[in-house]
Amino acid sequence: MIQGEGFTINESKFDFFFGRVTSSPDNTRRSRDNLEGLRQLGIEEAAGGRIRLMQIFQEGLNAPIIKIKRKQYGTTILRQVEIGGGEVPGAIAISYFYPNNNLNEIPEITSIIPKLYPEQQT
Amino acid sequence: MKLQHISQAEFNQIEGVRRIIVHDCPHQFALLDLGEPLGRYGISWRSSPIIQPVIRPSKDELTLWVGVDQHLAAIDLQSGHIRLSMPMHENIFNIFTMEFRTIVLTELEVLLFNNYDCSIESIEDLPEIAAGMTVAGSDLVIGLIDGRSWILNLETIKCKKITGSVSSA
Repeated sequence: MIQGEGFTINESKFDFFFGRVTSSPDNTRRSRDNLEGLRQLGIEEAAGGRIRLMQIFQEGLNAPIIKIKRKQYGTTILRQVEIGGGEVPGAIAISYFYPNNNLNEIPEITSIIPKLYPEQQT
Repeated sequence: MKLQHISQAEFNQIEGVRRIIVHDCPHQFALLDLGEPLGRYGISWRSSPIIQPVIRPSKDELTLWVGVDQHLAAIDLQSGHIRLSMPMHENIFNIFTMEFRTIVLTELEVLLFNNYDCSIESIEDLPEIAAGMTVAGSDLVIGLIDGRSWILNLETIKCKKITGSVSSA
């Protein structure tokens, strides 16, 4: 487990975010889509992408909440960070999981969803 | 039944109630044509073309399940009305239809639906991103990307155990 500034994340998540998961057709496609989405947002692993994501995860701790899921074993809060400077503008929705429903605990990053803003239609 | 990719302008011409799956920041648009008399339904999603909608008829062929990205829908194949249309917390990986229930596997969840009325039977969180799913007797076995397996008993709807040891993906 990697300790970030105010969050933790399992090392294997970066394999999923950067297109290296190939254990089934379903997660292979999604992993490749994550890679492509991050690339278009200007986040590439070979160009410091992992450090950039860690910065975004830290920034996201105070980003707007877009969804909450409460379960018996914990609460997941989905926050969205705006991303500029890439091929296209967009955002990354980040899932922060708080074990035991204790929002004072350090959350774990469980998933991300890269979003690319569509071109404005005229 | 035919899925046809269309432009955003064509999607916008579909009657609102027939847009069964709508995402924010959409980049892909499709028309699901169920023929006469049911007609056509619109789907939009945000992922790249690598990701395509999962379309599965129920075993009794009374319901058509459709899922892509973070949205799931079910259409009544007799009347054409929408039995269910709901956003999901995670991206959908696959849909499996069984005799009495339908199982939706997402990145970090398993959702069980009753075929009778498409109501939710159970939502179970996974401890890691899913790799695949098989049914072994009364057990649902979900492989995880870290090499472990998560087992749910389909009779009790209780997680029986997590097997294996963590490995690199």
